[in-house]
Amino acid sequence: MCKPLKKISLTALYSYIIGIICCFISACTKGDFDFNKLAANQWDAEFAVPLVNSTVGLKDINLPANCYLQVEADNSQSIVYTGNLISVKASDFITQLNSIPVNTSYSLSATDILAFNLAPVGATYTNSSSQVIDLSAQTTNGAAMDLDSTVLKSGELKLQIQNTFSHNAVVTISIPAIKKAGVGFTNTMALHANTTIPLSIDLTNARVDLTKNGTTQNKIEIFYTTTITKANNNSSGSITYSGSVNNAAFKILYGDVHRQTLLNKGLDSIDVPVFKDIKSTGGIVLNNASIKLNFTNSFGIPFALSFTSIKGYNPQIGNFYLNTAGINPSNFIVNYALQGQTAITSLTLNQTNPAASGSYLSLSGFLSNTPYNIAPKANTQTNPSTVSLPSYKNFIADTSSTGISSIITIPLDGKIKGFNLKDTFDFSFGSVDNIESFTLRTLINNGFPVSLASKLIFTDAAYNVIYTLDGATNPVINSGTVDAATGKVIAKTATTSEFIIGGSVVPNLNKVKKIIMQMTVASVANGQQNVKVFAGDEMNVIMGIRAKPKL
Amino acid sequence: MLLSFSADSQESLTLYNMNTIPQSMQENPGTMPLFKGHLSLPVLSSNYFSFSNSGFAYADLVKKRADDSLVFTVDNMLSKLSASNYFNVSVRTDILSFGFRSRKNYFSFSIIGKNDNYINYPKDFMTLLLKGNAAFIGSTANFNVMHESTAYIEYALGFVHQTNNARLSYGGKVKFLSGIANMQTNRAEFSLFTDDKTYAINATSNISINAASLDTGDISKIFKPEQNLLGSNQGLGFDVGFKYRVTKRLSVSASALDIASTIQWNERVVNYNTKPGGNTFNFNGFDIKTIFNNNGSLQKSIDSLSDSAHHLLDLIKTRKAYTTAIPVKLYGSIVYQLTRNINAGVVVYAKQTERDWQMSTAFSVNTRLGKTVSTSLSYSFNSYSTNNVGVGIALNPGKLQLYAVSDNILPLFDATHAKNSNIRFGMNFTFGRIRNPSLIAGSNEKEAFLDRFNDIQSRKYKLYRAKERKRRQAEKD
Repeated sequence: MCKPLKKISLTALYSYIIGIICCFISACTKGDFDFNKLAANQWDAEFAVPLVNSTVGLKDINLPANCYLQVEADNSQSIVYTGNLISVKASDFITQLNSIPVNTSYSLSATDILAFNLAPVGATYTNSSSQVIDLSAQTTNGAAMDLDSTVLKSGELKLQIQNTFSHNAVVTISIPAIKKAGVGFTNTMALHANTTIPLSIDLTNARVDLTKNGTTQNKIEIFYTTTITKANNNSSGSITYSGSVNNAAFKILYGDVHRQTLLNKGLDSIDVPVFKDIKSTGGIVLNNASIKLNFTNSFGIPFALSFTSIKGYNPQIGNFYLNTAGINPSNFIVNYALQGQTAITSLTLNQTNPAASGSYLSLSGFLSNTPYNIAPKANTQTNPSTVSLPSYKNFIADTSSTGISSIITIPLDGKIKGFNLKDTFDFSFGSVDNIESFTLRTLINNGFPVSLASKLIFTDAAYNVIYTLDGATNPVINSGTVDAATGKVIAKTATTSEFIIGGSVVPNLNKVKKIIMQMTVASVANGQQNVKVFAGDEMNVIMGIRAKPKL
Repeated sequence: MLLSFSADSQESLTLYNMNTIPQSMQENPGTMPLFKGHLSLPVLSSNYFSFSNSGFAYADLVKKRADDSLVFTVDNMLSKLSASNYFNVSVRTDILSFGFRSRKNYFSFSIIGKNDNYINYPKDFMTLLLKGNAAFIGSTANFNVMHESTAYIEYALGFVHQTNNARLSYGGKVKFLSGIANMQTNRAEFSLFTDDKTYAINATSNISINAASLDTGDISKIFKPEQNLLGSNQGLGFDVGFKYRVTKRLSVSASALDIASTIQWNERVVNYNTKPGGNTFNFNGFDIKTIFNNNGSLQKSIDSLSDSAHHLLDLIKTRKAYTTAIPVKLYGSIVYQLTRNINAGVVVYAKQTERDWQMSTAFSVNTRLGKTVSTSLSYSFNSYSTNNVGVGIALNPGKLQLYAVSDNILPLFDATHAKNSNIRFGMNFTFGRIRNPSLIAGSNEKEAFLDRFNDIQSRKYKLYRAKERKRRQAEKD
């Protein structure tokens, strides 16, 4: 009954299963799943990431050690360079005190011998004498300083008394010119027959009067009182007094350095590093630049100074000169200091001082030539006739110094055009092995009143150029919008640029080790309009990349 | 306590109206089976495998060129994606199942091992992954990448009752669920905004991941029969269904599966969550001053950036039990008996998801040749594909039943265009099979007569076989 049906169904089932298996096998053998046949570079993916987002102001610029930014009263910015034109210490001026040794002998005169012979043994004979030791100071330029007095930091007065008589004696040494704690020096000592006595007097902190009671200078007078006691009738012999000042070092010297003149003395040059980055091919006009010279003096000596030349140097221009003849005052007095104090006197060169004359430039013209360095020369004179001196005239303390420091203030105010800036930085992309190509986008919001055309040159360690991103073929970084009256930026200007770096370049970027940045700078209206940089001016630098990875 | 929907596969639509197969009771527990008893054996009786990918087919991603080489067609693949796409893989096997009929009732018991894996991959996620964030310049890529894998054992006690007039059958199942392991991304929300001018990136993450019984990488330690067969990860669920013969030829049926089915995961639970409010990562670009302070090298800056980006995935670890819900599935069907052996029907299926219901509809023609062979041919469409041809066949050479059912056999002919398919196959023992479902309704006297006649013939044949065996034995003796 049902048996035939079972046979039919089994046959159908087997056919069905076999058919399905055949179809399945057929479907799977078409090679659609053979991933060995997959071709490379299947599809494009692209990733966009920000790279740089910085707000850069002038404060972010790494300035040299002698340079800083200064915010002026109107909130404008100035770059200030400081430098020392010259610095002279007392030790540079007077190296040491000089002393001339002296010898003085006393022997009996013929008259004294007659009287000596008549006197009984045990009788005494007294003689008084004095001796002068020179103590002088000489300046390093060869001129002498006449000393009235000095306080010594160290030193030694070395005396030696030699007795060749056959009689004993007593010697009293008195030096009222040398005082310690206000007390003059005195010493009495026995001097035996045929003996020599050395004596060392420490002059540390001694005040020494060198005037011989107001009659001269540079001299120390020593008084000897010698009492000889007759021991026999032999009258031959002598007493010799020797003296010298050794290793004297002063704390302070009083006297007169006289009027000494030093002509055309070259002072130290001042480097202006910011100008060294400018490969100038254009023009710059700096408004209200100034150079302030601060003269500090803790000597008790007034100076007169007049600049004979102030030379600037720039490789593109060569040497150029400030009109020093126009500096007012032409003969500048540097006042003397009171003891323990420092006198400061200033001279400011500015827009009007000096004015230009012929090829000699005003300060504005001088700085607009962007000097890499500034080298002044000056005549100097001590104790100029126009200065009334105190009674002690001059003093030199061992701590005294004098110097001329310069403060060059360059307000970022003026016009600039066609200036090329160039700098080199270390830089590495890291590994870009998995990048096929990328597009670099820059978005600059410029709040400075200058425009910049940039070129970035990527090089290897040996400065071989790998790739150049040339802003000349792309929009420059436009300057901010400037108020014509004040020169101040009133609105930032956005500039967007894109640089496509293709697959042929990317593999080489692994070698990049340095970036050479070249920028051409111009203020608004192509350098025809005055602009001013203020403290709040800044530039937003945004860079992003869209990179296509290798797939 | 955490609660979320669990992964779950699409059920078999073709099987729904193949009542000769015991596993059809898994689709509608209210249908009286066409046999008086069944027994399913471990591994042999029912093996179910399904995959479905709503987004794209293999051919959308890989194209064969004229030179026989293959090329990825990513743009084409992405164009096929919806805003939210799903990929499911499910495996099920009957560990044990049996049932028997008693008068107008059918009692059944089954133990089924289930493993469902699900991942939701939003189009934005795939676009970001394959095309990069340049595709989202000036806009925000938002995506919530959901994933869940669940393995559990279902113990089901079923009951079907048929009314006296045989027009209505109804029934249900009570299911005890024993969880083996689970891992789910309860929440994996990411957003990425790329500024159109600066390419500045703003990313956020808000992540919540739960896992149970997975704190070991050794799969043999995850599945421990002595623990998982009746482990501490437990839950309950219910199935209900009915079938009603409206007229002699027309019947309707419906079922609701996994009603209030949940599993509470208690064993070796670990939760990973971002801090409240989620994590954020903003990158506007490196400070150029920093770069030059590092001697112009980007590497240190990139390393620093990488450290910051990792914070996006900073997760706080806790150990709190959580509950997953098995999605509710609804079936509805209308079947029209065309001839004695052929009927046609439509099955509508809906599965609850986190946001909505996934719908499928199948049209099928079912045939039955006596008690021995039944077949089904179906066409269905769903959110994955609108072109699915399914086949089912059950062969009963005696008490043994061999069967195979699939809702989509087209992948057998062209796997490259397949977006979904499933297959269930195995062998059961069925006893007391009933030849034609219309007889159960009792409305066709001719059919009833034929069935009784067949039963008589069958008994006569058995008696004849018994006599023959005795006669041969006697001759041997």
